[in-house]
Amino acid sequence: MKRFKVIKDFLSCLKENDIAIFAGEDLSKEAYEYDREGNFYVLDSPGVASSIALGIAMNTKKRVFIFSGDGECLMELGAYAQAAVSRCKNIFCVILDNDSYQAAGGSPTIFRSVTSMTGVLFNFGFLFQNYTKHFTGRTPIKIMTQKIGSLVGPAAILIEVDKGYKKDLKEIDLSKKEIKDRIIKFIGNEELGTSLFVPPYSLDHFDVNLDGGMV
Amino acid sequence: MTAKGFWEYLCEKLNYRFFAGVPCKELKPLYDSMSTKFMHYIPAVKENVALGLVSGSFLAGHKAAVLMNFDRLYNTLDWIKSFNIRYHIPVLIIAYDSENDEKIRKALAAYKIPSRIAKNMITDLKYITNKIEKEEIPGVLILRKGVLDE
Repeated sequence: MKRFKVIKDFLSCLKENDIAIFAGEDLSKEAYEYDREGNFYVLDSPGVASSIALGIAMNTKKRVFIFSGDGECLMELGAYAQAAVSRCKNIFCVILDNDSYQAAGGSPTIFRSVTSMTGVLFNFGFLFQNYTKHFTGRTPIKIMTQKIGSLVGPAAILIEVDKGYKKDLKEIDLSKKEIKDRIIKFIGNEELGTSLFVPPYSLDHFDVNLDGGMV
Repeated sequence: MTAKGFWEYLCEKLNYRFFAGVPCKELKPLYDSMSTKFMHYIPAVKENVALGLVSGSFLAGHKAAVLMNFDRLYNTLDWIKSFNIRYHIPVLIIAYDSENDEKIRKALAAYKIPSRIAKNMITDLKYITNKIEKEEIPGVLILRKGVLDE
């Protein structure tokens, strides 16, 4: 499935108050086609987006989804380990695996050659989900919205996508300062609240569990 | 100023509450005197991860600082330039310089990242935090031997 289609469908499953962070220029441009106030684009700092997402997740109750490629994930496995051990219930790492460094001309990555990347992420401490079949098998968006809505982090979501990216993407016409100011305003908007799924049995410990994510 | 006094001033007077860093032998007095009463500290796996964590904290509305060795700061300059400077994200970087490293100070100047060698801790902390918050850029407080009381 095309990556931009996955991004479009995934974003339509998110709730109004969810934060979505995109790592890299191509991924950001594809996501910008479906721009929303809660989107944050990290355009040219490879390897730092996942840490930024975790820093936000540790300081808000809103759910934070970080979208990155398999190359970015490999480059920053330490940051993924950091996210997994944080025990933050509101961090979700979405890995869009196209088996290549798309931004660098499509050279292959070793992501699919690792004996079990599932095992690596699971053993870091992530709840691991492979949503490839859901997005390519046309699971209805309504069902996907329910599935994603009930996720509890830290979770790693793998989706295998086709190589290549959408042509003729428009430039992001927001300045970096505007992108920053917009996300600060969005995170600070307490009226939006959180859509973090809370199982009924842990309602009493809601705040405690979130703060407990801190080391 | 003692290490404990340093934290109390930075956290309670200047309202910095979220910290991340990578261990540095020379910063041990600061690590030993951290208090979970008024601060959160995240031991990061790498300097750029620490930088990302505190940048995220700033985006979520909390002032934040990184602790690292001055030598390692050199490795993070690309990230500071490509993210913190371009996106106008002010984070305080507290770095220990054991070797009076002019090369890094020159690199900081080239990137237009303000730095201040701590001599009078309160004055210098106020100066660097005011500067980074006003100009929305990252800045470095450089600690050297003897600046914190044993």
